[in-house]
Amino acid sequence: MTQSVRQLRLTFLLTLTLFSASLLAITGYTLWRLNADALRAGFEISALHTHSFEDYLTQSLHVVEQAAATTISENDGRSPTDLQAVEAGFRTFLRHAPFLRSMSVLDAHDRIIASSNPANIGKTITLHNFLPQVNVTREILRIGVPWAGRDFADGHSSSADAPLEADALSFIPVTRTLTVGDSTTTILVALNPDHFVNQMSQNLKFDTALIEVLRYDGTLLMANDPTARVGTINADDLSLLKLTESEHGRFQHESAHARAALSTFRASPLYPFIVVTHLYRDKALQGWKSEAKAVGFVVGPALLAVILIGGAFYRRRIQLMNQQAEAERLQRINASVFESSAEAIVITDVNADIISVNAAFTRITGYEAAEVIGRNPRLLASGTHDRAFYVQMWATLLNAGFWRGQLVNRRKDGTHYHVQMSITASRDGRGRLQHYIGDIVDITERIQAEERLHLAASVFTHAHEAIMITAPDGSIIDVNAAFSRMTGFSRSEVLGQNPRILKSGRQPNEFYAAMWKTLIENGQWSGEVWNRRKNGEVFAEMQTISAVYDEHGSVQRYVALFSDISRLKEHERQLEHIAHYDALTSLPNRVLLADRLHQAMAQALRRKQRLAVAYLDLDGFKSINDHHGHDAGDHLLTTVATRMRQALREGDTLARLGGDEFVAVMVDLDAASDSVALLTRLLSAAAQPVRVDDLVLQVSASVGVTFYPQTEDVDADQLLRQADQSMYQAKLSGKNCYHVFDADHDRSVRGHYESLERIRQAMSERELVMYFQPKVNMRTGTVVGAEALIRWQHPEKGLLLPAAFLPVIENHPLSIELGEWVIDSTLRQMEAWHAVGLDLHTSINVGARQLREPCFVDRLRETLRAHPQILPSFIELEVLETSALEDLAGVAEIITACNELGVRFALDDFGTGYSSLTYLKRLPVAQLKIDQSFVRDILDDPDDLAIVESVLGLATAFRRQVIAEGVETVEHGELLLQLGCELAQGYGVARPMPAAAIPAWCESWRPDPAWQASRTVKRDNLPLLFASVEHRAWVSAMIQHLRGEREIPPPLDRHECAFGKWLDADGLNHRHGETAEKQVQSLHEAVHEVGAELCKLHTQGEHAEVERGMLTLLELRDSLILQLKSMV
Amino acid sequence: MHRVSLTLTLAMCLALPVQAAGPQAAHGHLERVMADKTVRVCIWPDYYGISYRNPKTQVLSGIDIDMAKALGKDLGVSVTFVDSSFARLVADITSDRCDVAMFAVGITPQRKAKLRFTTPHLASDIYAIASKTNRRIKHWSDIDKPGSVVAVARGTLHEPVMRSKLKAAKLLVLDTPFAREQEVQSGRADVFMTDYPYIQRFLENAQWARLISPPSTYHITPYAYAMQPGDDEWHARLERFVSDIKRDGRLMSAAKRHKLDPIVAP
Repeated sequence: MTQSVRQLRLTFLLTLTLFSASLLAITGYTLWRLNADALRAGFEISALHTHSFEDYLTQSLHVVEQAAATTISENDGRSPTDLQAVEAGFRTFLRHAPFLRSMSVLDAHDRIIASSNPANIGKTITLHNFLPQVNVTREILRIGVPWAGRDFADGHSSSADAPLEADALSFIPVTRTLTVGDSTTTILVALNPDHFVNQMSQNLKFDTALIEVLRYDGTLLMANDPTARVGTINADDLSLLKLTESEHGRFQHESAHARAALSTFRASPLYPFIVVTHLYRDKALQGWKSEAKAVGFVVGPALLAVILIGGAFYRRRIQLMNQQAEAERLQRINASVFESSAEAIVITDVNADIISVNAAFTRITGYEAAEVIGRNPRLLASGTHDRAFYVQMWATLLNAGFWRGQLVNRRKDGTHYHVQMSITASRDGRGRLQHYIGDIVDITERIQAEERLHLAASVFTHAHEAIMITAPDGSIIDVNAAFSRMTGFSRSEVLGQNPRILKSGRQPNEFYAAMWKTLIENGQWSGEVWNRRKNGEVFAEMQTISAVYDEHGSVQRYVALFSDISRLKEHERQLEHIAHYDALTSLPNRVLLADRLHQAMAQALRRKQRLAVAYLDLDGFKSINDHHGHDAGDHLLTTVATRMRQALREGDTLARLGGDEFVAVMVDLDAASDSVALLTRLLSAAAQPVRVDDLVLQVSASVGVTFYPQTEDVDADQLLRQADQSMYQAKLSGKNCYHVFDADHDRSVRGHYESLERIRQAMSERELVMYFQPKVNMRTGTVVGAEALIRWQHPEKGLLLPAAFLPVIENHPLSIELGEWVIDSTLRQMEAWHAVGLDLHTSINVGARQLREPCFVDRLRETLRAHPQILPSFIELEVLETSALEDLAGVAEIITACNELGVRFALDDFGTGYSSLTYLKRLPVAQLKIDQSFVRDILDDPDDLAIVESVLGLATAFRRQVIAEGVETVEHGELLLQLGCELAQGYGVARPMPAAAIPAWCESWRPDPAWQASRTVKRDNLPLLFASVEHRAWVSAMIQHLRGEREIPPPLDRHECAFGKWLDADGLNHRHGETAEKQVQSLHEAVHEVGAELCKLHTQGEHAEVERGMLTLLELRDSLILQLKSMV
Repeated sequence: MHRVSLTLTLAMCLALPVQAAGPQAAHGHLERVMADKTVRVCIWPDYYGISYRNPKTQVLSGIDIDMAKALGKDLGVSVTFVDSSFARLVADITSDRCDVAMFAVGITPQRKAKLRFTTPHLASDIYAIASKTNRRIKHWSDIDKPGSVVAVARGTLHEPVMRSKLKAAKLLVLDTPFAREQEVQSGRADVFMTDYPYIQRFLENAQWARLISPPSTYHITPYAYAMQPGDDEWHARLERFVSDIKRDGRLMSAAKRHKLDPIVAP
């Protein structure tokens, strides 16, 4: 209950109580007054009647006196005649005096001697008890006690002891003594009380008042009470009246035996009787009672009505107060809603001037309430909507009372935002327009979200990567067009399916389990997956799966993005093979050998066994190659390799290091002597003749052998070097034998190498210098940088290449010192160039040991700080691919740290190591340097060409820059440009030179015009390039043969050579027009014809002819290559 | 009008001895009435409701006053009212003091022997009047008790009826005007006997009086107009008159005016 309600209740109760009390008091006072009035009136009435009866009685008696006097005076009443006359006179009088029953004349003895009623005559009346009592004769009227009966004749006197019966006939004797002359006559009258009682009864009903007539002695003479017995004496009552003091008065008559009455009395002024009137109190108050009752009937209901009306009023007030409180509460709620609403609310008057805005309005529009109150909402207008828009808006608003729409508004700060706005015209109860209420929702974010959604949908649709969206249970919800292109499944085919329909079966279940584990733990997985297309073809894809979570953190969707990396995979496979196996013999190469050797060494230690490393060099092979041609040499190599491989056991490794050099790793040897049989078999296998076409060729092998483990700790490279040294010993010993490495002897031999101290001295005495080899962009002709290369300007031996001294310090801390010296020197040189206006990107070789030095990055940072003029981005560190792979994670971390400094990295000798796609991806290097061993032979060796082409593809896929090392000729550069490789380094560009020569060289260098003309060939035309190389290789082989450098000529049949086979296999593919094709065919035919002719001449010893013919052959070759080039 | 009537009455009173001496049979009452242009009607001026003279105004009123006037009108003559009473009725008719007695004359055998009556126009029972203060007589049966005094007016039909009926009570026969009322009022008599017309008007004014009705029919007497016997023409004319007033409603309307319609004879 509120304070106001309590107060109202108190006021109400107080008012009601006061009012009721007042009303009751007034009513009570009024009734009391009325009661007093009624009593007073009752007394007055009582007195009036008393007076009236007394007067009537007195008058009647007085008339009797007069009549008696008259009658007697007319007749003296002595003689009988007189008496008769008196009697006649009496009777005449009685005719008009109904209050008299009879009149008589008494004689001296109180005997009736004459009477109006003859029956009375002779009757003697006793007068002694008449009042007033007198002893002497006086002319007065006296009253006797009542008599029973009709008249004296038949009546008798009553007494106080024997009063009359209530219904008895009675009369009152009265005498009047008259003196006429000297005689005295007494007249006796029988007074008829009935007459008076009648008179009384007519005026006052006997139940209203009791009227008594008493004689002075208290004898009841008459009364209007039918039960009253006259003759009784009420002397007690009379004594109360104190007649001696007052002859009239009033008193309250209350006693137990009688009714309470308002009594008045009056004594007759002439005669000895008193009239007493007892007006019954209840009768007197009857009027008052009914009045009081009426008042009660009026006041009671009136009071009740007032209470009820007051109560109703009170209840109504309470109700109103409650309603008001409720209304206020609602208003507060409304106000709270208004203020706390997230939507902006604007209320305007009918003129559309703002009268109120809420907090959200300020939040959305930037305007404070005070700034906009009284202003028109058009201040929010952005100007994007034309006038018609607003006209239409107002028309709708005025017609329908409501408008809703989207529009662009402007914030206070001028920025635009989208709103969903609704305006309502608010009207009062009579339908008059009162306000406009605007509700503004900022939907900018929604619209932006929609745009983003739209963009996302567009990306989804047009992405080149396949996108697949699945439900948490894996069922496919959506895929894009790229998905269908890639997998061959249409969208409708895969919806609702599980992605396992793509499963190729190539990965084990563990793979998928791991994938799901990562996905669930990290919310993302990426990796390579082999999947199957609809047509059954298996393809590799690089896939990234991301989980999309809802707001509760549970997975809502999985989104998988994947791209087809089949081609990359193919490259990878090729690279893998190239990297590990020798192309010619399919034997493991140097890389795989190193790997196998490491494993074998570890295994030997584990098994406590020995292994033997045998270094083989074929004796006389070069001669075979020169005399019989590469093909024959290759054939020989292949055959010998196979035989040697077969001579070894399962588990042993035979690797080809290149040329005619092989290494055999023989494991599981219990003793060094166990290798003897194997070595013998190897020598025997190598020495067996090989039949190549018509020729029978034979070589032998010189073998150097070393064993592991040794007394000193040795590594694989040392083992190989030991075996190599021993092989030389074997050669020196006469070939076709093996020589076992002597570790003791070796230690003494090491003195051959410059001591560490000498190198340290060289450093301090500045004998070490930096040479620089430029790097260029062959197509644009710009110098893109230079590689810093260390040289030792030896005072005695002249300029030494690093191979001569670096191996000595390879595993020595000095190498790190030297490495830092190199970096510092190079930077110093760069400063010097900078001073002359040359800013050249310079790359520095960094050894694996130096790179992994814990403080490498800090040192580098310090060094860079020491040369503030050199931008770190101008520095490139080259690290060997092989050394990088030894500690991929560590190197990647260092590279990343250096990248942060701004220093880039290049992978040197790329292709010699084995960089899987994954590894390459993880190494944040900027550049790949294709190893010069591949580049050097691309013109003649299709395999090298394929490798270079693959490396270029790989670099493109991983967006790495590529530079080719070992570009020795213009042709090299031309071919590289055709393959898409623009950056080059090599003798074909420039040899390494002293720093001082660089500026001038940069100034003067111009690329070969042929390079500028070269265009990158399309992928479709790559076979043409390969064909050119094949053809060139054939011609080279032919010339070698003709010059006696090669024993066996290349295949003379034009259908047998590689180019011919390619042509026959429709390599030209009819795309280049029939004329061009025919030209190629005829040129090729001519080449072979000339080749065959020259071979004949060569055999015949016509050397001069051959020399000339070779020129023709070369011209034909160039024409054919030119023709092919034109087709590209 | 009253003055004229009074004058005429006085004149006739003076002429009475002459007429009384004249032969009556020779001239019928009708003829004489028509000749004299007046009809003499005997009335009892104390008779409330029938023929009552107000002592204060001396104006006559009552049903038979109205009927007498109607008779005069029917005959085309004036009406001369001659004061009479039941005590003097026979004498007044016989002596031809009036042509007809029109004051509800009860047809009693005694009267019938001397008078000729028209067909009755009213019929009334007998009633008693006592003083209100009389505590002994409350019912009709209380009347005929020893010590009771019953007053009747001399010559009225009540005198012979009560004389014959009363066994114990004393009969007081009175012959002065209003003597019955005086005796009862002064207590010298207990009741007096009267008829219906009388009590109607009497009880209105005498507040001391109390009516005592017989519990059942006591003695109904038919009332008619009385005349000398032998004059058939006159009798016939009056009979026709009575028949006329009954038929044309004048009787009933007058009865209602005087609250006597309960006792109009059929």
